[in-house]
Amino acid sequence: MERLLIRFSLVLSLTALTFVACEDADDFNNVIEQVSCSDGMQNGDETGVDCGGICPECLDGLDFSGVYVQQDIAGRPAINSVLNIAGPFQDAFNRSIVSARGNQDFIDGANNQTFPGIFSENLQQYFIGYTINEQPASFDNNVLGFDIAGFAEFLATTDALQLAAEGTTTYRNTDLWFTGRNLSDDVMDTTLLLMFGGPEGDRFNGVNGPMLISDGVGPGDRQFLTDFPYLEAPLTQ
Amino acid sequence: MSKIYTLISILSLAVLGLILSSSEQGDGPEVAYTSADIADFYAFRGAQSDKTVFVVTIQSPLSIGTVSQKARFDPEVLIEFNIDNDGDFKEDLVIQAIPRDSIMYFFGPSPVSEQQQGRSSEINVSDLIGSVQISSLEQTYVTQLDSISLFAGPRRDPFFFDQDRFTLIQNGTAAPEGFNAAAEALDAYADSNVLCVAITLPTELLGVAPTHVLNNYGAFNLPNAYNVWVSTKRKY
Repeated sequence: MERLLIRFSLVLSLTALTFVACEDADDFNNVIEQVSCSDGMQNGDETGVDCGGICPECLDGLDFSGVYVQQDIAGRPAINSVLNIAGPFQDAFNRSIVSARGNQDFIDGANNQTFPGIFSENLQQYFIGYTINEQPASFDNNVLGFDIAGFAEFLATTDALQLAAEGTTTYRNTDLWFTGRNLSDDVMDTTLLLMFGGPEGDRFNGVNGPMLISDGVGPGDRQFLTDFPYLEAPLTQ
Repeated sequence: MSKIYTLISILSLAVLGLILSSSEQGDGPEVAYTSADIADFYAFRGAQSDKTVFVVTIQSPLSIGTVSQKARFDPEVLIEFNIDNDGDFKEDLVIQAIPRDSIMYFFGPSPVSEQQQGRSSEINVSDLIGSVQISSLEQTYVTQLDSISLFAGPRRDPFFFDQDRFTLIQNGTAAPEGFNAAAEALDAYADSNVLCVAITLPTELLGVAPTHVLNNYGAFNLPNAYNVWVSTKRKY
């Protein structure tokens, strides 16, 4: 009985506040916020206890129980398709966690194989058959200063997007590296530059050998929005 | 390398190139073309300087028309944005999204204990952010909360790449000149859609960012940065 009385008096006082607020439309939202979404009772415009109305939706009847197990994972673009080529290793990568892909971490189901090792092997294979000034070429460090083993290890063990807490986000803009990924960033050109561009970023630029550091494609006629949800509406024809 | 893997590797280079594609698009035979297949992941500042946007695209490619019309999020598949804010590449916070009927529900950012880190997750029901009506080809729905925005639905694929030419390059000497010039290059994703989940939230909800990981590898002076990735998890 006491609880009922207390609740009744609270409702009354809140109702009074609301009436006061109605005289000043600017304050309306402030008053509603005083009806807490964590006070353990249904009040304000809530449709259940601390849910509905201005509070989060009521989840009554919805089942969110159970355990969910990893199927796929993505950090930086293109890692598990460009540098990890064999299907079984791709599957193993998709099941793996970022912090278990080092030089000491054997791939689940494969004897003595590691992701840095696989990435390094696959990276070397890209150079087979390609020449610069008619001479066979191989990976020759890259603009970040990595040799092939170091690059493979970096990509495997830090496979996330780095996201700057402040300032510009970009996958790469001149000397600003890995502070995010915008929809319009040409991430594949950046990936190709790191794979084929050599220490100065000018190898395989199509002059004395094949063009491998840019695919020649940009966002094209896509029209990204200036506000949420930023992505262009779906194509219907 | 075992013989089987060597054989698979050679076959991959020579034949399976067709099903390979870049970014995360169509990767891994077990997950490719399933409702849990991640295509791309984006993380950027957005229109307001104190906010961060996470975007994931899945189920690429959706061709225009019936395929796009019929594409659906899977209620058995949890989408999880992972945030590492201490530099060990283990998730410290997760933001979760999962559909029920025609609505996408969002939870988080929820702290993740050491015991909870890894391949398995449960949904942090008590950390409900809110929900959004899943958009259709014709209608876009966005939920605007005080400082958080939510979206789920089909969009035009933002990813661009000359996939076919790359496949030739991947196959060895099939493309001796490398990539084509812009006039001849073809964007394989220009005319397709994807399913997208997006959230904007105040960056401060992600905690304090650690030293940028690349600063540990050379004389870089990059700003403090979270390490973020996305995963899909299927109900066990």
